[in-house]
Order: sequence, then structure tokens, then C-alpha cells
Amino acid sequence: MEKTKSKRIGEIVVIAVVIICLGLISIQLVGSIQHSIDLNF
Amino acid sequence: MCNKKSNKKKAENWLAIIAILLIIVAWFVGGQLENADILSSIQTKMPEIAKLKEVEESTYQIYNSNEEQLGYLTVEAAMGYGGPLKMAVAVDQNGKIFDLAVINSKETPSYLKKVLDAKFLDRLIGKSSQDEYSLGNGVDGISSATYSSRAIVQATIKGNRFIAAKMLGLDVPKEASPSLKFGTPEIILLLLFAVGYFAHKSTFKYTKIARWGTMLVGLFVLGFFYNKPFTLSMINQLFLGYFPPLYSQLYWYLLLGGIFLVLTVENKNPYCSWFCPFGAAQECMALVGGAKPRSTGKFKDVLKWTLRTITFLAIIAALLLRNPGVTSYEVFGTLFKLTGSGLQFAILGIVLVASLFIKRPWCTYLCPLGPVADYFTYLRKLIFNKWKKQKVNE
Repeated sequence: MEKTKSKRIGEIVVIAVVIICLGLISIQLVGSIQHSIDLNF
Repeated sequence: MCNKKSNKKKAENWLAIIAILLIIVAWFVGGQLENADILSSIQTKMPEIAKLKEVEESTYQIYNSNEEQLGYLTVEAAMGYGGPLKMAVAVDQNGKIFDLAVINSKETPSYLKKVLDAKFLDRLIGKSSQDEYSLGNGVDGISSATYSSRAIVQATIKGNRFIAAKMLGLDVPKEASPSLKFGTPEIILLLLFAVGYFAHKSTFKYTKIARWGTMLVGLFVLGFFYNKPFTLSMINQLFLGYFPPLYSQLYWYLLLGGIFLVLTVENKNPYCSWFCPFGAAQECMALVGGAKPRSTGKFKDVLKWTLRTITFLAIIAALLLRNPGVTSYEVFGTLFKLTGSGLQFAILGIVLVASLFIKRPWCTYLCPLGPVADYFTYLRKLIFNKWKKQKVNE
């Protein structure tokens, strides 16, 4: 029971880290695209 | 159950085909968008120039606001890291450069910004068409942005000498033919491929030692020393057909050629687990923290497809903007050369801390090259199966 609980917490932590990183990556991508448009057009 | 699996396979086949079609469409649309108004871009970036009169394609007589002729301007291109870099080169009546601007580039924005912020263009202002100079010889480059610096210098020299010879009738020095650059990074790369090849053989006893050896060489030599990892930008370059000059970027051809050759022939990825510098950095962190592969339970597929979607959109955006480096969001340069935006440093920090507890979190959940390799393997299997079926029917 304890093991299942700690496994579940581990899963949630990994998912949270990945979602935060994917969010930051998406913001980074949008920023780069905007910067490129400003620079070239 | 079987029906569900077959439906999933069918859907994946359709998605693979739609992805190719969308890539082709983005390629064409990007080509149309690229031909945006170059003249307004010149006038914005070179405010001294009030009027341009075209004398031949991409070459203009230029005037100030008092209608006095300042000289000539031409737009020349040279291959940078991500693709052709276009420079507007303004030259006075004596063949001297008096103004410069990057009109269009395919460089990674943070690297180009570094070059421009360092006032690199000012180092070329005042150079004459008679001057013999190149990057490292009369002009110091910007460290960690060497390809961009070199492209700027080459395009500037070309433009300056073109105006001097064609418009002003001046003698210009003859261009020296470039020599093939085969140095330490190329030799090390070939050695890494060779070690990986032999270490994969079942008779090889020291696979673990060989793998750690290639990873550490990858980390310190290809990562920290040369900063030459495999990036999404290279894949975008392939799609766009921006092939860098063979003589100066042989490394590019060896790296991509080697990876895709082994993927095609052996169906194995020779890079990621063996000498990817960033993968090695994560494994070093894992040694410290005792990281393990962590499950994401039922969210595994959701996270996998989210990454695939982001990677696909990044490739489409690069094709639309005709700029391979713009959507290369990896944090490799952030770690190895401390170059990047605040966001990239934040991502890097999170990934490095996570590497202490999760085995290779970047490679497993965030690296765009994973979906690219998956897609390539998928297409390879599709084609190979069709070819096999055809052979059986014959």
C-alpha cells in the first residue's frame, strides 16, 4: 500500500516537472518565432 | 483488442502521411513569405539611406535625404550556421564600406543577437575592397557564434568586391579557393562512431566501459569544448535544403550522415545513448543522485504525443519562417556555452536538478530529436515492409 502510494507520488512529480518544462519550452518557442518575425520582416 | 490495435496502427499511418503533406505545404508557403519587401527592411535598418535606385538585381545606387549620392548598396548572402545569411553592404565611391545590416538570416536568434550586441558589424565598417581579411585574420569573431560571424564577413567581402569591380571599376583581390577543413572535431566524431560500431558487436566484452568513454568524450569534447551537438536545427536545415559548405562544415555532413546511415542500415540510434553530450551530462547527474527511469503511468502516451506535437509544430514554424535555427529550443548551448534566454536557463536548471532523480528526463520527455528518430524509424519500417511484401509477391 505504502509502495503504491509513493509510486503514485513519484509519477505525479515526474508529470509535473515535464508539464512545467513543456510549458516553458512552448513560451520559448513562441518568443523565438516572434523575435525572428521582428528581425526579418 | 486486436481491432483496437489495428485501428491505432491505421491512425498512425494516416498521421504519418498527413505530417509529410503538411511539411510540404509549409515548405511552399514559407518560400512565398520569404520574398518579403527587402527594400523597406534596408531603409529601416540603414536610416542614413533615404532613396534606393535599382541598377541591377539586388544592387542599388543610394542617396541621402539631400538627394546626394552616397555610393552603392548590394545584397549578398553567405552560408551561416542555419542557412543563408543576407547582408546589405553599402559602399562609398572609393570602395570603402560605410554601412552594413543583416537583412535576413537563418541563425539561432540568441546567437545572432550576441553578434549584433557585440557591435560586430562595426569591425567591418571602413574596410576597403582592396583589404585582404577574413575571420580570424584581421577580424576577430564572436566566440561561440563563429559560423554567424564568418557568414557576415564572407557576405560583406563578396558585396564590397562586387560593387568595387562592377560599379566602380576598381581592381579587387582574387578570391582564394577554400580548403577542406578536416580537424580535431571531425576526427573525434569518426572515432566515436567507430567505437560505437565495435562496442555494439555481441563479441565485444567492454560495452559498458566503451559507452562511458564515448559519453565522456562527447560531453567534454563535442559539448563543452566545441559545442557541436546534434540539434533540431540540423533536421530543419535538411528539410529546407540549406546544405552548409562542405569545405568548412564537413562535421555537419559526418554527424548527420553517420546517424542516418546507421539508423537506416542497422535500425539503431548511434548517437543518443552513446555520445550525445547532453545525454552524458544527465547521466553524470544521475550518478550523483542515483536517478532511475521513472514511470508516468497512464499519462505516458499523452506526454509522448504532446512532445511529438510540439516537435512537429517547431518544424512547421521553421519551414514557414525559412529559418532552421529559430525553433531549435534545445538547451545544449545554454549548458555548454552559457548562451540562451532566461527561459532556457530555467529549463536547463529544472532538467539538471530532475536528472538527479529521473534518468535522462530531457531525452525521455523533452528532446525533439526523439520524435524525429521515431518518425524516421516508423517510415523506414513502413517502406521496408512494403518492399518486402512486393518481393514476396514477385
